[in-house]
Amino acid sequence: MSTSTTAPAGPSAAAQHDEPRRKKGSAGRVIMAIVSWVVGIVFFFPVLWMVLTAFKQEADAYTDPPKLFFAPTLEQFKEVLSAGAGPALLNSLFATVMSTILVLLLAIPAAFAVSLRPVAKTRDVLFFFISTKMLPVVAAIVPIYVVVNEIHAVDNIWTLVVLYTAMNLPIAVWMMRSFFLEVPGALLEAASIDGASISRTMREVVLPVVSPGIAATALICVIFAWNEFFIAVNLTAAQAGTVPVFLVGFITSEGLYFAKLCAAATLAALPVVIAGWVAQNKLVQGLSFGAVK
Amino acid sequence: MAEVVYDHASRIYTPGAKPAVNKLSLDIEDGEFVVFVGPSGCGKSTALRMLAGLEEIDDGAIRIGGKNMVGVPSRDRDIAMVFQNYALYPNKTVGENMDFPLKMRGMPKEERDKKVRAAGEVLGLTEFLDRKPRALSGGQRQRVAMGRAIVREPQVFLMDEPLSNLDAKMRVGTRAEIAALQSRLGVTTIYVTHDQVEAMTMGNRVAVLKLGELQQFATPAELYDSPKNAFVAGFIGSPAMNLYTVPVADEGARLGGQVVRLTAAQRSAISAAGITTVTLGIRPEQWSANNTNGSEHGIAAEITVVEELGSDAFIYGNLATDPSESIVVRTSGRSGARIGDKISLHATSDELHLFHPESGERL
Repeated sequence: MSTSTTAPAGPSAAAQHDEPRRKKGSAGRVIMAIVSWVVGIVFFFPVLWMVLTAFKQEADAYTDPPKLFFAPTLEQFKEVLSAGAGPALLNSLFATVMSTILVLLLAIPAAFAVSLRPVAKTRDVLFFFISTKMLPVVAAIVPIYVVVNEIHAVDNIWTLVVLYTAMNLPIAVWMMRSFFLEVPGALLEAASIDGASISRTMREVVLPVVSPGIAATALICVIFAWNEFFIAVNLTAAQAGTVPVFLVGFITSEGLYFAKLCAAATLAALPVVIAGWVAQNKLVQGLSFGAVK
Repeated sequence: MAEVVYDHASRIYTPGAKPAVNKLSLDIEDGEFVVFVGPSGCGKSTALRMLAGLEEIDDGAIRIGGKNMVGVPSRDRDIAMVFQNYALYPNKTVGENMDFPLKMRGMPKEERDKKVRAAGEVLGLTEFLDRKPRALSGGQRQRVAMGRAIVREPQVFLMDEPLSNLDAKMRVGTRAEIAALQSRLGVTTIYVTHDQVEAMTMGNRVAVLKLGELQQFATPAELYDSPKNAFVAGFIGSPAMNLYTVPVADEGARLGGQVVRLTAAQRSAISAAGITTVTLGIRPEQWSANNTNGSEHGIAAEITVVEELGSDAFIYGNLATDPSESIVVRTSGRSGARIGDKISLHATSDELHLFHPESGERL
C-alpha cells in the first residue's frame, strides 16, 4: 500500500536528476524517459487497478477481458463501512498514532545520545538495537503470545501499541541517528557558549533542525504500524482487530468479494497516503540549510 | 572585560603522543586583541577551543579574569564565539539568533529587544532582523555571527577564522570593521587565523604556533623585525623571507659566490655559537636588484617569475651558482624585469637575520 505514495515520484525524480548531470544524446534521454515511464506505470498500475475495481460492481470486477469503462458505484464502499470498518479503522488509528508518539518520545533522546554524545560502547548499543530486528516475528510470536495471554492482554489495543512501539523503535533510533549526525557540531557548541542547557539546546536548536528527519521517521513508523498484520492477526479478536485483519475478513471461500476487497483496501490505503502527503512538505526541506556555509 | 592567562595549558588527545597544544603560556591583557596564527595543525584552534570550554584542559590552567577555567562549562565562562562557518541557528531569524544568548541568561524581553536592535544598527543588520539566515549573503551571515557575539557584552570574544568563508575583497573590508569594532568595545579578543596578513593587520600582539608549541608572542612589528627563530621568520611576511643555510666567511656569510657582509655583533654571535654554517634570512625588500645581463657584480640570479602588483613588484628567481636556491626580491612597480633576465643582487640592509643552522634560533 505504501508504494502508492512513493512509486510515481521515484522514476520521474530520477529522470530529472540525470538530465543535468550527464550530457547525453537525445536518443539516450528518450530511452531514459521511456524506461522511467514504464517502471513508473508498472509500480503504479496495481494501485490504480485496485482503486478502479473498488468502484465496480462485483460482476464487473470479474470480467475477462477486464473492463476499463464501467458505471462507477459507491456500493462496495457502503458495504465495507456497514461491515464494521469503523472500529477497525479506529483501532488501527489508535495503535498507529500512540505507538508512533511513544517511538518518537523514546527514539529522539536515544538517537541524540548515540549520535552527539557517543561513549565507548555506543556502537554495541546501536548493534543491539538493530539485532532485535534480526529475529523473524514468526519465531517470536509464540513467546509473545504466551506472555500476553498470561497478563490477560490478548485482544487489547494497548498490547498492539506496546508491540508496535518495540517493533519500530530500533529503526527510528537508527534513522534519527543519521539525521542527528547531519547536525553541524558547531551549532551545539554555539548553543553551549550562548548559555543553553542540553535540554534547551535540544528544544531550541537541534529539534527544529532535524524536524524533516522527525517527519520522515514518523512517516515510516506510521506506515509500518498501519500495515502490520502478523502480530495483529495473532493477538486480536473481535475487540482490537485492526484494518489489515479486517481486510482479510473479506476473503471468503464463497461468493464474489473482489470489488469489496478492493474498496476496503482503498480505504485502508487512504490514511497512509494522506500521512505521506502531509509529511511531504517537511520532507523536502533541506536539512539545516543556512546554518553553516 | 578581563585578562586571559594561559598557564602551561596542554591538550593531550592520546596519552603518550605529542600534545595538540603543549604547555602554552600567554598573558593576554584586558582589552587586548591577540591573534593566534600558524599553519594548519599547529594547535591554534585547539588553544582557542580550550579557552572556550569546547576542549578539555588536560594539564596546566587557563584563567579568565583571575578565575581558573578548568572544569568550568562553556556557558559559565562569560565568553562569546564567532565560528568559522558562523553556526547560526537556521530556524531562527537574525533577530532571534542575536537574542538567543540574552534569552538563555534570563534577561527581560524589553531589554533584550533594545540590545538586539542596537547591535543590529552597529552591524547594519536592521532591515534583516526578521529574515532567516538562509536568506542572507555570506557577508551578512558573518555579521549576524558577530552580532550574536557582541550583543551580550561578554568578558572575552573568541573568533575562529571568521573571515575564511568570505571572498577576498569582503575579507579586507570586514577585517578592518572587526578591528575597529573591537577597539571601540574594548573587549579582550582572541582571534585565530592561518592568514599571516590578518594576524599582522589586526592583532595588538600575535602568537605564532607550530605543532602545538608557542614560537613567539609579540607585536606584529617585533615579529617582522626580529623573528625569534627561522620558522617565525619564514612564516611572517608575504612573500616569505629568503632563508639560506650558508658557510660562514671572514666578513660575513658566503652566498652565491659573494660574501654578504654582517655586523660586528652578528659575527661575534656566530663565533660565540661556534658554528661554521649559518642560516641567513633576507626579506624581499632587503635586496636591491640590477639588471646586468651577465655582469659580474653582486649575487647573480636568473628571473623565473615576475609578479606586477601595480605599486610594487615581486621578482622570483634562482641563484646562478646554485639553481636549487630560489630568491624573492621586492622592487618598485613596473620594474621592467622579464622572465629569463639575469640580475645581480645586493643586500641593502645591515639588519639581515641570522639563525642557528640546527636549532633555528635567532643569533
